[in-house]
Amino acid sequence: MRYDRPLLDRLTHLLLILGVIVFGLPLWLALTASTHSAGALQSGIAPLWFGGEGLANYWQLLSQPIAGLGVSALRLLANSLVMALGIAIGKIAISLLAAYAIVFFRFPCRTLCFWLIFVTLMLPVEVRIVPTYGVVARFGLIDTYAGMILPLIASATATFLLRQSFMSLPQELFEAARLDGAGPLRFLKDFVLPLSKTNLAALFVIMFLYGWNQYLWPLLAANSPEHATAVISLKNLVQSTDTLPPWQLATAMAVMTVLPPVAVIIAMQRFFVRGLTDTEK
Amino acid sequence: MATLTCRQLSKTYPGDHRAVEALDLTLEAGELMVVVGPSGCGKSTLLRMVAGLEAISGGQLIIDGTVANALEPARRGVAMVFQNYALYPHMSVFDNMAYALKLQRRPRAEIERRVHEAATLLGIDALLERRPRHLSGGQRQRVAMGRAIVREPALFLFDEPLSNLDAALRVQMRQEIRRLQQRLGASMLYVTHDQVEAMTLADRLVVMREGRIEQIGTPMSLFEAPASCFVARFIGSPAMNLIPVKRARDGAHLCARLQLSGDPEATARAATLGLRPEHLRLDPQGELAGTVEMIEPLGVDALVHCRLPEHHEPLTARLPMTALAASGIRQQGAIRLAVDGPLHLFDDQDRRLDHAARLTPLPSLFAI
Ligand SMILES: Nc1ncnc2c1ncn2[C@@H]1O[C@H](COP(=O)(O)OP(=O)(O)OP(=O)(O)O)[C@@H](O)[C@H]1O
Ligand SMILES: [Mg+2]
Repeated sequence: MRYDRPLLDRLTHLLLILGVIVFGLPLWLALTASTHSAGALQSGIAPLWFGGEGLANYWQLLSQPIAGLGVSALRLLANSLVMALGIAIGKIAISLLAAYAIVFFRFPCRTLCFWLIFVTLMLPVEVRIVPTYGVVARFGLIDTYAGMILPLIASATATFLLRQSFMSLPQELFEAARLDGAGPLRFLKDFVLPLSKTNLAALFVIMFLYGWNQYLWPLLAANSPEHATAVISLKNLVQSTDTLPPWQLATAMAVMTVLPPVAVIIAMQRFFVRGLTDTEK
Repeated sequence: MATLTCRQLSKTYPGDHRAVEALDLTLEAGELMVVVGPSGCGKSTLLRMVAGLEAISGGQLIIDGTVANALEPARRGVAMVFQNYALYPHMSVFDNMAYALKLQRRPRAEIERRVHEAATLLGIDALLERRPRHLSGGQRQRVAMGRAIVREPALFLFDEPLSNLDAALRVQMRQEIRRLQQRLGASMLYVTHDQVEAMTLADRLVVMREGRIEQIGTPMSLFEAPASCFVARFIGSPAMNLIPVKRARDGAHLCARLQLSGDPEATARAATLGLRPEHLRLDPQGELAGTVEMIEPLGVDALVHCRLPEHHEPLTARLPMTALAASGIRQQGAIRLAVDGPLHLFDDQDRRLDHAARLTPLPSLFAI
């Protein structure tokens, strides 16, 4: 919609700028604070401009074990990456197959299966945490990557979204491919995947963020520092009983924790833009 | 080139809906058979059963002498051209056409050769790198046919392949399909509900109605001797006039002073009289007298819709414009027409009666 009203234009711009400030200020503060020395931050007044200790702070985090945790930030970020990728890829792989089966195959209780999957939307990990912990513990998967990833990789949301996407593929495509001699797996590989590319990219971003931001489950399932994630370490960094927390390190860690999701969004963004202007359906 | 035989072929959809019932049909090798019928009569269902896209509920489907009821679609040696083409949107024209061959693991050189041959045949060799969405309707149609040709199938199936094209292109593609079929000597089963397409393309024509075959024959035999009122209405454009015959003590009449005479069997059983619009001619002494309701000029000819006394059904005549102009006939005026061709008689079950008959005017009471 376009209105030719200068006053309205200014007002909307003002609101947008306010929004940017509200969302951007904490990030900016974290970024600037992470470049000061511990002493400069002791006053309790957050500096609004960069200091000169940036390189040293980040280098310390990446190279030396974090006090109280015993592993470096590199390890934490790697753990987070493994978990987030595992969850995102696992969720997509499973819901892809589930949605494919539901849309393209006629088997008994098809609709029932779909609704059963759908109902699990009401059972996120927070709700089923006690039984889930029990199962994972009995399998001996506490403090393993598998234990951190597996309980989270079934996704009703992704199954539902992919089902909608698959249902919009024309039925004739499937039939033409069948006449050409494509079996079910062929059809999945040669048609469903390439034609759902943009949806899969979007889903991957959402699921990666979901995995990266997990807090409660890794807190329970990863007790040893070797499996701690970046998000959890943030709490450890600001938690010190007798001395002031090392704010310069905590903010540097926060900045580093934000970066991988940003990278994923930027990497996947071209698929969305293509998807909007260049639909192939 | 293959033969196709259907024996008592049936399809019952869930909910006991009988889409095709006990259908018997034989397609000779190299024959182009066209299936026509109104919407929902089961044409697509028949085609899809032959292709293997729809499970067969009863009867036998025999392709080249072997029962193919349970054969995988790709193993039946049939290729299908869909109404909306169903091109693969994410593949180039070349890949669209080559896909089946790639799955058959043919050598690269052979794939290239066969795709290029088919593309040349269809005049689309300049388009091989394009995506389907960058093609016009006619070009897409060609690619869809190319995809079928490349596979060198034993039997081609077409499901209303031209219905998405404009009228001029439809005529052109119709002729191309015919040429192609003769050149490849291919067996084809072709579904349409356009009766002009059906008449011009078919070696033999199948008229279907509610899942059953109403009549099979060459287009001309169906035109000249429709087996039922249904076929008579369906074949020929404008459609045949079908006028109910009235019964009186002294025989069968069309109107009060127009008697149906001839074979006593015919006059006794005829319930409907069929007259092609082309078989009526302007004649001041003609036996059919009526009033003109509407004149539709078509160019050389005009369609004159008349009304006979005592009848609700309009009578349509196809008359030359020149004769019409010379006679000074106008709307709402009187007209006299003579029958100049065969009469078609149908019994009360709408079945054809093969007996000779003619219309005889009775002398007017007042003229005595
Ligand atoms: N999958 C289905 N399930 C149930 N009924 C169906 C199904 N497909 C078709 N039918 C019914 O079977 C009958 C025949 O359908 P079909 O598609 O063969 O008609 P058609 O002759 O091809 O018509 P059109 O000229 O409109 O394409 C119709 O009454 C239709 O409603
Ligand atoms: Mg149809």
